[in-house]
Amino acid sequence: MTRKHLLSSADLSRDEVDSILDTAASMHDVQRRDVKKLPTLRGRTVINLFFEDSTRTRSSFEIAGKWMSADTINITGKGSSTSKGESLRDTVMTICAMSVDALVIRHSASGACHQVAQWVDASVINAGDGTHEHPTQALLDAYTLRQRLGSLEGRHIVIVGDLAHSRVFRSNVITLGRLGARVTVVAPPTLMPSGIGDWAARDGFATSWDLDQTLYAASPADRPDAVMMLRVQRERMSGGFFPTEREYTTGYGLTRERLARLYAATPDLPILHPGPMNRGLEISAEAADATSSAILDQVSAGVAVRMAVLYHLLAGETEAAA
Amino acid sequence: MTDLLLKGANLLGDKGADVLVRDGVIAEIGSIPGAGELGGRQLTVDRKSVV
Repeated sequence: MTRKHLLSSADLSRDEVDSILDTAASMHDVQRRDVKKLPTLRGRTVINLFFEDSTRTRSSFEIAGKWMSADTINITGKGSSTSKGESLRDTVMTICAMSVDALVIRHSASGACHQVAQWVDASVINAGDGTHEHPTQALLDAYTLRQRLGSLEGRHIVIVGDLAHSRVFRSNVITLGRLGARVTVVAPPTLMPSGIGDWAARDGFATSWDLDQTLYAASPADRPDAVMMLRVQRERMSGGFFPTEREYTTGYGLTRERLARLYAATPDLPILHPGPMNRGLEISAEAADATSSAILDQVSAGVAVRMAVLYHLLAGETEAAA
Repeated sequence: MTDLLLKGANLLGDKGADVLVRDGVIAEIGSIPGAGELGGRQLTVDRKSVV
């Protein structure tokens, strides 16, 4: 793979996705060693520039860089000069004047990472831009599903929740589609992005407003091979998207009752959630902690996949320069 | 495709820059030819009519 940036899942071909996931499998082996260190990115500097809150993504990028011997530095919006009114362009130009090799960026504005990639020489990795995309989350979800299900070719993955505000869903329909999975997205009409019909036709996924009809389809071939619940992003909501939380849970939550009915047909059904979870809202504690829950596997895969991404974007240059 | 062209916006902290938003994603920022003097108001435009 000879790519400089990772800005969108749409940038990656099927071969590139396969290559990253295969590399991630090797990196996962490193993760299980007593001494988790590779010399691959020695002498490289990776800046994690996060203008939005993050637990999993930021810490996994930091760990991934450190395990590959890169120097990693975390900068947050609140602690940087942007809080004094500096523009994003000036902030990233200032950081890159210190000869850094990669910027991992999370920003509330959709398209911010694309803009940064046009301004700087360093590699730019999109760690989530507004409601647009989160490509490394989609890669780690695909990796987790591949670990559980084997090949994703023809597998039916159901994604449920707040699609209107979800960058995870946008990246996932692309990446899972690349790997041959059939994706159905489910949300109440108020949480469906506008124009999703055209988009679904173009990218080849299905949409539904009826969770129960999707989960318990009459034909076994139409039943899900995995279910991914998405967080209700209350911090991005400016109005009332559903009457009450209780009503949302009744219509679209993975409740104890729904889980029991799913398990009756498929006891080992993988349940995913990108986190952080609103327990009791979009997912019940029983589902989050179920034996087939893959939620902590996703977190673990996050480090391996981000090691693989850093390797593909930066190690090639290192090897060429050596 | 609907574009949103902002003149003198304050997106990404770039005060006074023109911003082109395409399908909800910032597609261009800086000095955009033909942006017009919209005084920071938002205007839905067809990109072809702007360039």
